[in-house]
Amino acid sequence: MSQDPQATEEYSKTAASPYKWEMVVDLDRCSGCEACVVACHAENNIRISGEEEAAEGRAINWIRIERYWEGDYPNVKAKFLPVMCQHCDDAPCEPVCPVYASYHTPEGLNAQVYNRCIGVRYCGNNCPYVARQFNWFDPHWDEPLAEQLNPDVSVRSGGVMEKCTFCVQRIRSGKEAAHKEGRRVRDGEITPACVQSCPTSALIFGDRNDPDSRVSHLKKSRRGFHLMESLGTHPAVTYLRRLSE
Amino acid sequence: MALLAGSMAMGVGALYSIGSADLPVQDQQPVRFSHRQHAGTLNIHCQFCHRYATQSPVAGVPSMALCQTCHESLSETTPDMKMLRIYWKEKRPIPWVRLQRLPDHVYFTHEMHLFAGLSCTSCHGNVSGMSSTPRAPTYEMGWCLTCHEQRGASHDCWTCHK
Amino acid sequence: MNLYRRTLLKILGLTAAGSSLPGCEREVHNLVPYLLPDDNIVPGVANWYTSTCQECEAGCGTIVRVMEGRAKKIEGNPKHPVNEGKLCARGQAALQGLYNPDRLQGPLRREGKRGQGQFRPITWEEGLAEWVEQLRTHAGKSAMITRPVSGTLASLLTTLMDSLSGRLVMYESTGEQTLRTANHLSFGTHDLPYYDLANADYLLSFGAPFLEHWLSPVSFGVAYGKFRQGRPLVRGRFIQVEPRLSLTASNADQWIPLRPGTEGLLAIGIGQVLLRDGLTELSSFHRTSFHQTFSAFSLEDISTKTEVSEEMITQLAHELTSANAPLILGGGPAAAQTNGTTTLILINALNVMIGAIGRRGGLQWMEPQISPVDLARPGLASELTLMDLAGEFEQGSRTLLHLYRADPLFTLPPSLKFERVFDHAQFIVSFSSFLDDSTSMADLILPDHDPLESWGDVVQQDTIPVPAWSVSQPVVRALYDTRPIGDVWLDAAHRLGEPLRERVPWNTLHDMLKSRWQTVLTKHDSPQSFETRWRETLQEGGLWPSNIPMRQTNTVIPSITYKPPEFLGNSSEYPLYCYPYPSLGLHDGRGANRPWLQELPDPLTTGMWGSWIELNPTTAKALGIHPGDRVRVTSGYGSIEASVMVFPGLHPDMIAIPMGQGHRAYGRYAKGRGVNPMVLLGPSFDGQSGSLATGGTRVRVERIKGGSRLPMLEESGKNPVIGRIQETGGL
Repeated sequence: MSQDPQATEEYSKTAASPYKWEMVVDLDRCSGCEACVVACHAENNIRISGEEEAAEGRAINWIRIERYWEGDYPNVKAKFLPVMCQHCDDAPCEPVCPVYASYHTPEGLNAQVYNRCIGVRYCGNNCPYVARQFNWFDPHWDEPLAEQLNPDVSVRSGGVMEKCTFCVQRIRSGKEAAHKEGRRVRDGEITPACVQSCPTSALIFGDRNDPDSRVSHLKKSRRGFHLMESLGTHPAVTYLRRLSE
Repeated sequence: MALLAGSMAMGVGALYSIGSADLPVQDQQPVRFSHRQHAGTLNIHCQFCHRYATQSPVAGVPSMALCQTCHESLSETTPDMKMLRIYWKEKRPIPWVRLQRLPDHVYFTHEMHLFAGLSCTSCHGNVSGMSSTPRAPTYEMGWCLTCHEQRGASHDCWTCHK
Repeated sequence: MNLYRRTLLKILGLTAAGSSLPGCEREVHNLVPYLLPDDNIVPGVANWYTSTCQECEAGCGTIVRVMEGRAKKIEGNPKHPVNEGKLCARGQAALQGLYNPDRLQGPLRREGKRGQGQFRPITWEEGLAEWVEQLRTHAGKSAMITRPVSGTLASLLTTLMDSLSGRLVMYESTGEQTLRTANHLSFGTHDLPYYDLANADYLLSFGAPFLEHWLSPVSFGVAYGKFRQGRPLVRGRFIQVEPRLSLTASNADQWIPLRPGTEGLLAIGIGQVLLRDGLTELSSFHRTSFHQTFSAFSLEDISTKTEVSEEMITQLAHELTSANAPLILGGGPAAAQTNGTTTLILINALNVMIGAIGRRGGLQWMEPQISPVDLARPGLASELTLMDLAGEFEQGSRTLLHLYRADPLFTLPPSLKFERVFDHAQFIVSFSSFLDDSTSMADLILPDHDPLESWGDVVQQDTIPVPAWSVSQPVVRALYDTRPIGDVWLDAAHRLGEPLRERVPWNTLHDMLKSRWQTVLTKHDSPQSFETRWRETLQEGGLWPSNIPMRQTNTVIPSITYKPPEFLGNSSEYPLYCYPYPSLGLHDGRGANRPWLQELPDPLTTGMWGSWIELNPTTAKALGIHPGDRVRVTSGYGSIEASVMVFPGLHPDMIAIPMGQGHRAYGRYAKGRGVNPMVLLGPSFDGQSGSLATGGTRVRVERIKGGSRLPMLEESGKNPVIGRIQETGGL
């Protein structure tokens, strides 16, 4: 069901051509229920900050639901906007890292290499989406909560910046499974934790280089836009506008 | 003097294996297992014991029951074989000292390396000639990258960092 | 440059050596092999096991990721008809129940006075012997309050309490008793319908919080996605009417606030327009009664009382009838008033008038099916039923109290004086896993396994299009010296001897479960053996027959007399309506001991780890109250203190407070945190259903000294996280 058979052929021919990961957020579906937030915490070993740290604004969420009030009572509206790392093609966080801990992967992910990070926080300051969060202290889990930690994701220590990875561990294992079977990753085969959990299917993930993928179709929607488009960061997250009269 | 050398070694150990308590003194295994005997003389295939290597990130330490499949019918000719028998009888697992270690921020999978056609010896050396397995040389990033470079494998940080 | 970076890293390494790196903190230095190989476990590779979520009563199917014997993550079972692979925040946080640091690790006996919270560990034998002794002493006088359970466990508990002449009370504070009563009075069936949101193209909801906690929120979430964007040419339109803009209302195309408790009146107004403008065809059965019901008030009167304009009422009526598949829901604040049942019956009448009964995109009932357990879901108790139970304890006809995963001392308003049950009970046994407010009062605690460690089944026969009989299996080995409640009851039954032993001959709940499933699985003509079919059932997560025919429903709506809502407290002394609402993460409080849920920002206020009072900006201004100010809220029954959040989407005469905080016990994350709004509520009931009218109490608000800093995603610290994204493309 490709719109462009030539592009499809081109894509399948070049089995070695890279993936380019993309997420689409359909705001007309998003209900703000925050299932994604807990899914992300569970998958990515996100620390429990506790009341005091949270009050300091240091609670860590790789994905958060922003809420925008519009108008006054009784004509008031609240609109939700899930925000995660936008994995910008021209990411403001990358060039400012003195130690190359923040860099761009060939598959379009904006990566943070934790063991390289020295915690200068330049990247966090330069990120217009507030997608990067800093570990002011070592994380702590009251025993036996740590039994739940995902061994596929490293636990970030104090002094390190962290952020959404599009669940790179899931991408990795999806690619490995495909590689062992000598094929490309199928559309929908890899789902980051947030995408997997989303009850309304507001989040869609896939390969932008695959012209047949759902994200490739959806990102062409007339409802599509990027957050802070004018900055020219070229995010890998496309939002689809919520419809209203 | 031995004490001094020990504490010096401890200092150095702490420096190179951050936060870990792996010290050379610990390399004494509870049962002196010989790879030379098993993999060399008896020519048992690595994956007979480390049976998860092709399907998991970790190769796996054989279960006690697996040791027993052979040892059950063997007479105890060495003190270590006797030890093994005692462990089995008491239903206690042997607390092997860990010799190979990668830090938490490294993603490594045996499965994909074997799938890529590497042999066990490429990284672990010729263990079939070792009667007592030494602590692995630190698997440093440069060492990994050299091989990745030679074989045209990925250089992307996120291939191996998690 | 290279050299420089290396040096930096080395220096970092040196410092790090002195501190404890979290990554290494837990690293093992020994490799401990399995004694015997477990064929199911490949170290380093995850196994996924099916289970059923028990965090609420929706019964979503789950799959649990297990690595080396530890549960790592819970996701929705993609094959399950309720949730189609999706799972809500609370369901996913069930892991923090299993691995909760405050879980009870074995049987306990009270020391010192009741309620002092001092317990000493005992053995199971001691505990069971004492309990059985108490069962003998209090023969015919025991009672059990439990969270709703279904399936085999429900059947076991019903049988046993029956044989013991005991009283089994299944209580859920958001059990939607009003809706159940209204539907029974409207349609003559106790089964709730399947509300086919996915195929509707117009939704008018009177407060139903279906995207938060109403009936089956994940199922509704899935349907909502389809309702909006699942069909190529149709986008469902959605209007929510309620006095507080809830999360659900935020998603509506239009939110229409109205005066609390007047939802039924608005329904009359809409019905009146439908009849006036000839927009509905009524059956002869309804013609007279509906004309009577819907003409009781003039439109002008309705508009004044509801504060919804006549134009809007007319518009809603016309929109409803111009849609192809309109659907009307009612719940939440509409049901939380003294006239809740009447309101919901009026809403059902509107559904009749727009032809939504039995229609695709409307309300549907399936033909009843034979389930693995003959008892689908015993009836839930209302608050008035609990009052009745309390009376029995006062009179001494009940003396032995059992508690299971229910915390009535926390979830009920103190004004109901439910503590009299605890005062009068001569002995209290709890099977709960946590020392919650009620279990702290127990004399004997025989803690249950976590659901992830237990066998069980859940029967879901309403609110979904096909029946779902789901199974739970132990996905991890029990962490502590706990025992499954079913096994413990069976043990006690056998100790009590005949005739109990004969009625429940099984040794474990697992035996009982399997024997019951055997009858169903072998009933269907299948060449496979039961064991094969059982294994398949466990792999799938349960059984859900497809192609279930829909049942014809007779509408038996009586002639309805609208009653205005009644409020406790006079309006001069207590000028504001008080509406406590179940929090998205903590629900009625059961989530308060899970740090993920405590730290989950409330989507509308972004508040975390505490309580707050929501005030309309105009009201706050009139009272001289600023955001963050500390206030005291007082009703005729109690008062609480918390800081204010100014909430633009709230009726000016109303305050709203999230439920779930203010525990006196319940572990380190919950204890002493925030306030419990139930303290404010008086004994106000919806007479028809016996439900507590949580919106039926009036309060006053006054500023007091001090202010407190509540963690918020929006305004916390020097760097607020939210609100920095300036260009949102118009959202």
